[in-house]
Amino acid sequence: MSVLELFTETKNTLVLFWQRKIFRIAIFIQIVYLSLSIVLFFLLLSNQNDFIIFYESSKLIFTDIGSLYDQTKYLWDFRYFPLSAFFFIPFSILDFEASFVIFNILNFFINILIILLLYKIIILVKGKDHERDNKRVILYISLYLMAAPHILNYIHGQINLYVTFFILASLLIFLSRNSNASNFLASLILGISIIIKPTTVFLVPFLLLIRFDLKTKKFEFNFIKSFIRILGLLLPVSLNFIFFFLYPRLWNGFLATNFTGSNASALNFSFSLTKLIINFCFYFNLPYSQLWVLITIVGITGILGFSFYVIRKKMKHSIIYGYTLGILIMFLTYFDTWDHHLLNLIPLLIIIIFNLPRKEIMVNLFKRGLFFFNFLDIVFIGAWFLIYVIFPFNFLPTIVLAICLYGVFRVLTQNLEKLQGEVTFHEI
Amino acid sequence: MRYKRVFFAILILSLLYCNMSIKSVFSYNFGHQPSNELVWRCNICDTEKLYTIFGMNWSSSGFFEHIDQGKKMKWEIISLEKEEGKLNLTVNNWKWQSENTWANTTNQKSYWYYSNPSEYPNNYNLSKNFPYIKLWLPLPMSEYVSKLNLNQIYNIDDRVLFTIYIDVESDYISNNNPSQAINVIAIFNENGFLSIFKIYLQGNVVLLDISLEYIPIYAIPIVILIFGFLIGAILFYIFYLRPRR
Repeated sequence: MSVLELFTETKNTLVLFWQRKIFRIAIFIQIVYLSLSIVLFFLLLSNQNDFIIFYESSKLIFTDIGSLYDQTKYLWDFRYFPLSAFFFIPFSILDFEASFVIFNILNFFINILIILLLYKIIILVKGKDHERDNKRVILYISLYLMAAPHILNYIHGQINLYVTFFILASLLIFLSRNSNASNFLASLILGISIIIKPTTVFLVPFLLLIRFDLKTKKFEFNFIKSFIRILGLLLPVSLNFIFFFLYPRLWNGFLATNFTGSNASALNFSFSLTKLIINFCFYFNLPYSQLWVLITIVGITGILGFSFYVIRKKMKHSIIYGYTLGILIMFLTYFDTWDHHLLNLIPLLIIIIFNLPRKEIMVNLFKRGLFFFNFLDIVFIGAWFLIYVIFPFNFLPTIVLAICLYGVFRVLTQNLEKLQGEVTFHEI
Repeated sequence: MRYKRVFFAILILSLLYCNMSIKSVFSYNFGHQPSNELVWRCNICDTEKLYTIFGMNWSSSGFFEHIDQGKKMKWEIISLEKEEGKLNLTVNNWKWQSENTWANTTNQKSYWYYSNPSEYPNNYNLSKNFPYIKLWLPLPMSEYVSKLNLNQIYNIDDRVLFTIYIDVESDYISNNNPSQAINVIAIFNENGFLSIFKIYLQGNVVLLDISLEYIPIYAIPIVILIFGFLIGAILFYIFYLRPRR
């Protein structure tokens, strides 16, 4: 496809979206979110946002790279891979206020790219029994744009949308092409998302083309493609280890900040299972090791998630469910799962809603999960601030995450082949 | 056309924001009124371990004077003054005691901060003595503390709740005091007063836990509402939405 063709197709898709009133409303809401974040930034939050960390980290690249994880140099902890700081170098050239505004305007345009990718994926994987026209697809895309987590994402100057963009780009390639080169490329793109923010790190095992048939007791494992995928993913991630090797302080700092530092034990509204347990121990003065809580929860949910993925029934587009499992496991297990992180999950839930046959009962479960995360979750964060003195547990979103995890398990173990059509080998 | 106008209006507004250099000039303030009362309760006090770590005199003076599990300490705010470049808070102070009744006290104390935080020296400790914090901070706390050049023992996290972490290495206070490394967590409420204070040993073992005796009037109804929402959602699912085969 030439650039001109791509441009024409993009333009036509956006024109198609624009014809729907709901989409125009969604764009208006996005602009309100964006404007609100800029107003709040200049009036109140110019010293209180996450973008400061990214901005400062990119400056340290040039001045004192060895101190990248010296947290005294930041307002809040820098906890990402060293290469993520390089990503923000273009912004560090500008003064801070201008770069925040430009960064958030870019976030808006990234959202446009995300909905284009989302649209392409949905069209590609939509079940046979879904409507032929695209009204409902545009409705859900608009719902994504209206999602309340966007407010916090803009206000914090966060980078979740870049992660979502790379997740969807890699997913689109995995779903649309099956050559070794495209498998490598898709994994490489996913690896870049890990560099930006390690939210997607638990997606790695789900790239393996592995399945165990419970009926025939036979393993299916496509070693070459699995190897290519893992190689593609590890390539960009491993570049970070050059920095860890050159500056051993960075490695220690990275580990301490992410797994053993004081931030992990901070009392906050994170709705990961790990955080709920840590908040419980904090509140009731029980001794704990945050690292062991993390390892235990990752172990349990990770093994459970991967086991269900391996014993899944034959199905098309299983990688969608693999991606969703990876994100759900990350959200349930890592210390900090905040409202704006949900922007990584919401598009995947929308894809699942369209991928599953309409009469599949699990669709309703994912729909409710989607609506909760889209509009209600933010309410419970507000409520947490009012009640943390007597009840510091933001547990309702955790329950909804767990229900979504259960939903994916149910889908993976159902016989969808009849509804989806015959499954080719690479789709096992 | 209509949308075009709206779009351009927002665009122009955004550009205006960029050009406007809205630099807030903070005037630091107090989060309470005179005559407000604050009561802190000691929920946990592992006296034996505290003696071992800080020595026999650890609770003979200062903030921890006579502290023990179940005891309470009270402040009654007398005055809040901004004078001579200082923010001065004067309180009637009742030290740690077991009784729930508070007799008249003559123990009046003043706690002050410079109105301009940059007047403090480098490597500053919020208080001279352990636990190196004061029980109140000027508002807005994040803004004020970010202007201080604090000692490296401090780590501030104000992403959600304003929290000060203090890592005290062994021998930091004096020789063999503390005899092993300890961590302090101090969380301040939105009014700038200490609301949760904990001293930890390595492995998050709590030695001392103090909290402000304060339950907001709206907290209990909201907790009930949240559980009501959960129970309502479950009942709604069971009776109306559960798929019936």
